[in-house]
Amino acid sequence: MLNVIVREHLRRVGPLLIALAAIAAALPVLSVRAVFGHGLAVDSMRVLSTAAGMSPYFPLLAFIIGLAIAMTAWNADHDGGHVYALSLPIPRWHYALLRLGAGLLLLVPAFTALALSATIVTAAVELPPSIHAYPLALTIRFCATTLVTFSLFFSIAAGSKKSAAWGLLAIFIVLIADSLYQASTGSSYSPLFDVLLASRSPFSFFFGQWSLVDV
Amino acid sequence: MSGAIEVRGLHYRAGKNFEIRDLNLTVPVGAIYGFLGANGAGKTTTIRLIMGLLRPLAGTITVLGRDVPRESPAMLAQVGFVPERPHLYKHLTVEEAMRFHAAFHARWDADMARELREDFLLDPSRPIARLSKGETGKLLMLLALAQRPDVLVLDEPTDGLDPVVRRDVLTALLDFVARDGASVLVSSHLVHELERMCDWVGVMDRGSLLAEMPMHSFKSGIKRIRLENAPAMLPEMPFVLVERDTSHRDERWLVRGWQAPMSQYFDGIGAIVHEVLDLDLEEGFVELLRAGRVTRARGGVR
Repeated sequence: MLNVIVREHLRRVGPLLIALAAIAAALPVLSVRAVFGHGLAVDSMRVLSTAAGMSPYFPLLAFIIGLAIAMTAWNADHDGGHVYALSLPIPRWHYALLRLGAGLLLLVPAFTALALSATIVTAAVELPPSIHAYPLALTIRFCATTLVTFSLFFSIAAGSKKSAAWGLLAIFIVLIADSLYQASTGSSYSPLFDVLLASRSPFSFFFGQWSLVDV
Repeated sequence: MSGAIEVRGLHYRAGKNFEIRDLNLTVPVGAIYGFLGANGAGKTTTIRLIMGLLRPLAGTITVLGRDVPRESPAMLAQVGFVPERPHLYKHLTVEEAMRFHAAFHARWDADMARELREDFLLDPSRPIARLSKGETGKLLMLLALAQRPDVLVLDEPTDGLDPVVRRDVLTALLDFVARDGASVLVSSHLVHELERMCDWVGVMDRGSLLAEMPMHSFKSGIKRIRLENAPAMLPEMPFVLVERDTSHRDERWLVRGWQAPMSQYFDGIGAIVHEVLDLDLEEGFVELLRAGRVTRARGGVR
């Protein structure tokens, strides 16, 4: 059963998945090129600042991949009013698990692309003393962030199109409210980020160390 | 006899204007049950309730002895379903849709599916989104039949199909029923189509089942009788008086459950029968609906 659900989902997101995996593979390459690709002598400070400049793209890509696969997981069922899925002879929770499993499997190509690319490109360059490459840590953080995003939006998208729209609207309202709070108090303190950055929050993955190379 | 599908005291409400109230319906085992009703009568809602797609407010539904919706997955393994509107994943090809469906149905008959696909001239590589209405109807019937169900629930399976496709689809259905002895609940507003294939009929209107009987009784038992001198208060009748129209000089009665010897009843009450008119199925259907609506408008109970 999982096999046909994966194929069904893949049929809809195949080209998108290839594009996202290609970007995931390209990002470490671009990151290393930004640091070492200009032919100048490298010093540790410049390496760190350039690598830090590239680091926001990794969580952004993780978010986009998680969002894309999650939001497309239920599309086909939404189109048919869920009638087909509900007329299949399996419990609803079982069907939801199959959809979840299929979505998770479709995340694997992007994870693999990032892991291989990050490992290969960091092995191919000579790093200055005291600077280290962290391809595995970056990949784990990337996977965790993608999974958090995927889980959140998979749950939001699991209802009807209407309930998914309400879920997205609620997130948007929270973001706006947080911005308004910051504007009204004139401070940079954000209650939302305070909650998200809490050490036990799954969203803390978004804001950790994302550099491919670091001390 | 216990029914393949049994609905008892079903109550469901959708919005302010539509309600199914106290619906009782039985599809006998092995029967082809025609579910007749005008558009908006509640046929599709009833079918969705039977399939466990909606939850009733009250009442019980059993399909092959399994309680719906509590035992829906086990029930659905034995039921082939063709919904009113195509519900398949449109980006899949015909072949992929067959493979997808087969993965969920343990009794899937791959040979039968291939045979039907060839008979129906369906291109296996064609995406469902690009199928014509007739081809989609054929594919839906193929999927429902190839899972070798004990019960088929078909919601307007030939609606909008041209006569050739309709014949293909119905022939496949009847061949399957003849071979496997499945019970069928088929809804339609095409009366003549059901007349040819069904042995039971139920007529629904505005959320109520107006009548349920064997097709032969429906075809032969609905009469319009023109008579005079009938008393205002009538003793118990051997037939069902659906409507009594006294607005003409001669009274006109619409009755069901009629048999020829029942004419003696009129001798007993001193009435003179001028004419007993046979109604064909469509006329009988229309008269039943009309009479039911008049009765309801008057606030009467049939």
